[in-house]
Amino acid sequence: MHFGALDWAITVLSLLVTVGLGLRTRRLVGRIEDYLVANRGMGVYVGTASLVSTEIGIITYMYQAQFGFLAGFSAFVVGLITIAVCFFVGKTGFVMTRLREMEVMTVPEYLERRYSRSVRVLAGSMMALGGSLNLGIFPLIEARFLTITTGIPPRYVTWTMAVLLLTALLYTALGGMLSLMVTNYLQYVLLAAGTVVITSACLYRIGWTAMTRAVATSLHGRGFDPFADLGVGPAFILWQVLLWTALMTVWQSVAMRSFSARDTATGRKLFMLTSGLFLGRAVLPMAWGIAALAFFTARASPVAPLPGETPRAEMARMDESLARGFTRQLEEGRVASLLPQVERLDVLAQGELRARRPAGPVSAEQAAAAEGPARRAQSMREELGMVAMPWMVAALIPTGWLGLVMAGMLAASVSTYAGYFLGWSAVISQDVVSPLLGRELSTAGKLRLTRATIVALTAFIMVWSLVYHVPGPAFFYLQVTANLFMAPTLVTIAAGLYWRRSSSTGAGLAYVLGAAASLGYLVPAFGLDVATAGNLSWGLALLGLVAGSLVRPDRQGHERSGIHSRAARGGLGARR
Amino acid sequence: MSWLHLWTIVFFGAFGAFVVISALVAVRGYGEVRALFQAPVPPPADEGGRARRPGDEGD
Repeated sequence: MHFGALDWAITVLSLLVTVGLGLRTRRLVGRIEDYLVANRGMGVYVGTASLVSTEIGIITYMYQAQFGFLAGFSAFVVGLITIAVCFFVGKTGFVMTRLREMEVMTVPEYLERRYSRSVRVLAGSMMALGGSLNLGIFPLIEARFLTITTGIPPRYVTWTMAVLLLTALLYTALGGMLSLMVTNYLQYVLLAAGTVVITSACLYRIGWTAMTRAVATSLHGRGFDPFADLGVGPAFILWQVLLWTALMTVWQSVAMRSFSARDTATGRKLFMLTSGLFLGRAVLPMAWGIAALAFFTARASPVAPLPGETPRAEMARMDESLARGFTRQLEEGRVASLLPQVERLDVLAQGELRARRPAGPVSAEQAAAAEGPARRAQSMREELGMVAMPWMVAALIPTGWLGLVMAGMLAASVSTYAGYFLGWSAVISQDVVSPLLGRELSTAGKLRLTRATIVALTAFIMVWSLVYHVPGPAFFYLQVTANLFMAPTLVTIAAGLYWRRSSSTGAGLAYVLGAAASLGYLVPAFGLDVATAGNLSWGLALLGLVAGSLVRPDRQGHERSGIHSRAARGGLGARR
Repeated sequence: MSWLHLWTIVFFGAFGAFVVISALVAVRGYGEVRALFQAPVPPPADEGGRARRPGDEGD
């Protein structure tokens, strides 16, 4: 561990400059529009910096690296989907342009105009729930990156995360979107520099050839073809296309950037420019995960059975040994020692399971006994995938450069917290609390409510990150918690914009059914795999919308559509 | 073309695009940030456009 005084100096200085800049913008904030959508004055380049730095945090790099470590190059398919969807949205203005023309400040605000207040509150509540659950695991995972790369003892990591959260809270609560745009610019420059440093180090110190060799040997023939790989496959790809279309159009923190744009043309340019960066957002950290696999595979000692030991006995011995020492060795960073043991356990357990086939020599009971070790091997491999990248970064990057990387990573992290705080607090205050109060709040009241919500949200995620254990790969958990409300949101909004007969009942049903399907993955008792739960969520949301709209159409549906159409053409004001 | 060839192109393309677009954002964005700070401060106003006065309370 060599995170020295110079590294700390660079890191702390970058945080101080960021906070100072954020606080300077406070004097520019007078109205709720200034606060939430920067008075709709955002340019293309600042908007791009703001959008990308919000959507890249340490959490992003951690879960993408874990996915690359586990799935190899097949994970890159997500990057291709991202660039294609982002470019499509920018080119066509799908959904985003219509919402920007209506001058809404939050996504559910449109739902009240198109459907009803109850749909807005339902959508806002679902977004608040899913968004908070999504955000709630960020500190937990980011803390691991900080512990490993800086050498902070694990007992102080909670306090470190608290300082980070309070930093983001300070300037977001005071300066809102204007603060974000200014601080995000600086943060983007830092995080881009950090990203380039790590990627260059991977290429220079490990090399592309070693990375491809590591995938070929460690993943036993998998890791190249995304259509054939277990865990990726066609169903996963279809779900990712749908989910990314929603994330690029109605994910609150992304949508707020298009709402903040000077005009729709600026918003569309922003997305087209961002598409190239979103490819890197996925592919580069995934490559770091692959580089970590290569780095530790090259340092691993082969594991062999004891003389005369049967595969079953070897599996039992390996399982017991890992159960005793895995956690301790993981904390000590002995990834190179653990990796071959976990791989060996996985190979042995899979061998036992394969032998269960009718003609195989293993009984059902014996095969069932192998399911436990197979599950544990998978879980331990996921754990290794989560920490391998930061351990590699700590080992590869020299002092001084490591400070720059840390400044970039912290900038990425703080900007993500700040952007999400603002996005989700806007939804909670504007779309849940305010409509439920049943009366119009003054500007000062709205600002106070939004700020209070940011504080409450910060408190929630600090508590949640301490008590919750993430099931399976973080990538899947984060995507499913997003899918919980993204599928019904895009379905209801797209139908509201493009299908005149869609009704409030249909919208409500879409939310209930769409969310229920996503719970099929989050609640282990249902046993749905991630792609099935994801696709089912979209199918049921669509079914609910169509069935509900046909069975119970809105009495004033056509009038509402008419209002909407005028708003779309003429930018009908939505001040409330 | 094999999958490996495709992923090699995707990775180096992504890295190149990231470097170039980031440089563009850094250079052009600086001017936009300066313009934000130099923009006239909007008068604080409530929903109806009425200027906010000292002593005005929210809800």
